[in-house]
Amino acid sequence: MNELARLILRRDRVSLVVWIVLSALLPVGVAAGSAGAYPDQATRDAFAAGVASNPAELATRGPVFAASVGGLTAWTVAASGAVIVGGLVSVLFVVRWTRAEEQAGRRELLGSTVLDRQAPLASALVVATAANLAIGVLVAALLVAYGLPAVGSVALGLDYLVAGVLFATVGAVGAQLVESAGGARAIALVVLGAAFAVSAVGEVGRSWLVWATPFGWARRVQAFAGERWWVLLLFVAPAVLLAAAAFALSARRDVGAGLLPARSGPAVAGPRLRSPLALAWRLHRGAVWGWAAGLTALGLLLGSAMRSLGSQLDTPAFRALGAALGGGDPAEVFFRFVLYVLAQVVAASAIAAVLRMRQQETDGLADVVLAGPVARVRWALGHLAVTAAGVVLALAGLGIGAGVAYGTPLSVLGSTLAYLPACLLFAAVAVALYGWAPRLAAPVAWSLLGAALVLDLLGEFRVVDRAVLALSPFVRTLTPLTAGSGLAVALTGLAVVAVALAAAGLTGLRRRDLV
Amino acid sequence: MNSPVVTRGLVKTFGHVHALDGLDLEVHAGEVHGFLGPNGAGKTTTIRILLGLLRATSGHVEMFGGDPWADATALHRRLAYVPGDVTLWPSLTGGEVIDLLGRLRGGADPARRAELLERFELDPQKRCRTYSKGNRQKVALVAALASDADLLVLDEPTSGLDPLMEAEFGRAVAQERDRGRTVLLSSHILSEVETLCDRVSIVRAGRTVESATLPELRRSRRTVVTAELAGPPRGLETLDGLHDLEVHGTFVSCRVDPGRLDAVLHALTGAGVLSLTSRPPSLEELFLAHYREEVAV
Repeated sequence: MNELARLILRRDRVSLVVWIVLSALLPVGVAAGSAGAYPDQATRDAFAAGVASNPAELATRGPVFAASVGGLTAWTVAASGAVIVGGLVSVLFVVRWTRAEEQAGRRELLGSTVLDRQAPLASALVVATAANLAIGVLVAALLVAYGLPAVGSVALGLDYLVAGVLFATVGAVGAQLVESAGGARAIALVVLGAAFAVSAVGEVGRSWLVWATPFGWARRVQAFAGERWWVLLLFVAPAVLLAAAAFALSARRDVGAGLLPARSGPAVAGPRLRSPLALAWRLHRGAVWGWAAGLTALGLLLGSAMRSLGSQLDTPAFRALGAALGGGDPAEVFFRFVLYVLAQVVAASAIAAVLRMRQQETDGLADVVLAGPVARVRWALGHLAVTAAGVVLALAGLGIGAGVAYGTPLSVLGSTLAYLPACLLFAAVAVALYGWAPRLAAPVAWSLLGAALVLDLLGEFRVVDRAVLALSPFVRTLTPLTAGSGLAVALTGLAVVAVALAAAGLTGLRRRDLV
Repeated sequence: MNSPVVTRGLVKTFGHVHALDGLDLEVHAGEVHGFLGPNGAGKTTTIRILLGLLRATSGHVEMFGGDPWADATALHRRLAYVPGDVTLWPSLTGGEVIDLLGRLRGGADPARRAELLERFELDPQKRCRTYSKGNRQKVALVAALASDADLLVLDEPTSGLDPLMEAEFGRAVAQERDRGRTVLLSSHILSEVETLCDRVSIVRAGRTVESATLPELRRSRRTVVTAELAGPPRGLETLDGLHDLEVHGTFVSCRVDPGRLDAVLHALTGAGVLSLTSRPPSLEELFLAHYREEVAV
């Protein structure tokens, strides 16, 4: 197992180090940002009061437990950083080290050596735990070095550790259930998304639901606000159970098989499976419907929560905030905020869909199609059309779900679909990279989306200038959307850039060697 | 004669690596052409250039008189390809893949598809992720053979097949040739090439070292002669063009240079021949001889 852990470290040393360092820098960056933006107690108190009366902030980040620099830091990163980012990356790594290896057939090569059959899973969980431990230690150390109280810094570091490890075990169980790495990731992401939605409803409604998910727990450790250490134990129990379940499943099943068996399928292709577009739809449709259904459910949940909270939403503070942002119905203002965040999630799905092309190419599957009378551009356009359709369905599902549940379907739908060009722009960046520098496509496209997310976070603390903030396509959509004017121009601009980037990418694809 | 595939001085470099270093290949219409070479000799790189997936660094290449890079789509209507390492979409069934590939090419004959499925004993209902390597190869083979393409490009198509299926594959290729199709068969299974191919090209380190019909190749190489004589042989030692001579009493074995067979037989009949076998070199011997020579140089 030592050798296997070493193999994992050897393969992913760069990405592991990048993840650990970036994760550790985020809290201290936010602390510095908070201290800069809200230098005295009065401004921090005002900010905390604003959060308390803002359902959008409550839904995504929960309440502020202490209006100190440390308290605001914990408020920002305890759930968003530790659970979302830490949990997500832990899932991706664990699936990569277990099911993806198995799917690729490399696990078999290792399994024929003297390895124990549990060794791959064990080494994946050990490395994931070690990485999360490193993040936790660094988070605490950097916050102490910055000058925040040591006790709170340690509590926040522990948040990172336990949340990461918990989701590593979620990924481990997902990897045992299904035969494909994509399916395993999807299971873990659904768990993460459902937990987020439940906690959002709980936080806005101030109900017991806040105790039902890791998001609520991470916040209620209350780093820098009278730490409650016992809450950390809430993470440990499910993590131990999930790890035990993963090992039990792995001991029982065949290598390469899942728990959910593969069924046989049709002997003859349906009449529509006759073009690159139809093939692309076939390959993407599971993900497309999954995203659309997930976001529709999330929209319904948010919309109905808002409906039952209409009175709580209509606070003077929130109305003032709404007026400052162009006014309108408080619910609409709220949706604008939430949709702004969720649109970035949809952009992630679009990037993932575009990168499927690269995956098809490296797997040799592009060859099979392109050796037939199919031009490269036609093949790529099939994937891109399905990507775009997926984005439209996801945004529409979110808007319709939220709008129908709240009772204003059209206006909410309009403001979700407004993010279509922004989401497609990220897809187009991935296409351009895929055409010209295919090896860089995945890391650079994801980093750019990550940069947009960080920009958003920093913008909130006014660390970066508005001009820099306007680099983000999401901000470019949100600004005219709240102002109520200039939307057409902004969206056309984004769409033109997206089309130009995609066209450039297709030109590159026509000119380069395929792997 | 118009040749479906012609390359002259084909060069392909990947950074500092010369994958192809002046490769010449000509596949005549209607023949089964064996493309021989060890792993890493450049067979797959050549095929990927022919398919327009890679662009040649320099040299001349044409397929059906067109440029495989610029006219890829049009040319691909006339060919079907079986990759050496067949990967298929895990969530599609074998039957769906066969139909999809056929339809991309403009439709395949359902009767022929059914016949091939039967011949290769392939279950089309299974998802591709559950197929073994051999079965994935069968899917690609059925799709290619069911098409009405003029040229079949097969890259080590039998590496995962069992001996029974290998034999079935041989029969199928022979039938395709009889139907007038051209086959480019890359392989390092020499017995397969020996039984199937009309002409062979042997490549080494990205260069063609030999390209000829098997009889031509054989004529250019030493023949193995063994004989049992009535009395001890005389004068064999002094003959030119005789190699590896071994004499055990009245038993003689040796290898004879091309064009020297007549003189050797004269010497043998001088001593009285009781039995005689004369065997042309096997492809394996030809192949190994090339590599030994090249390595020695």
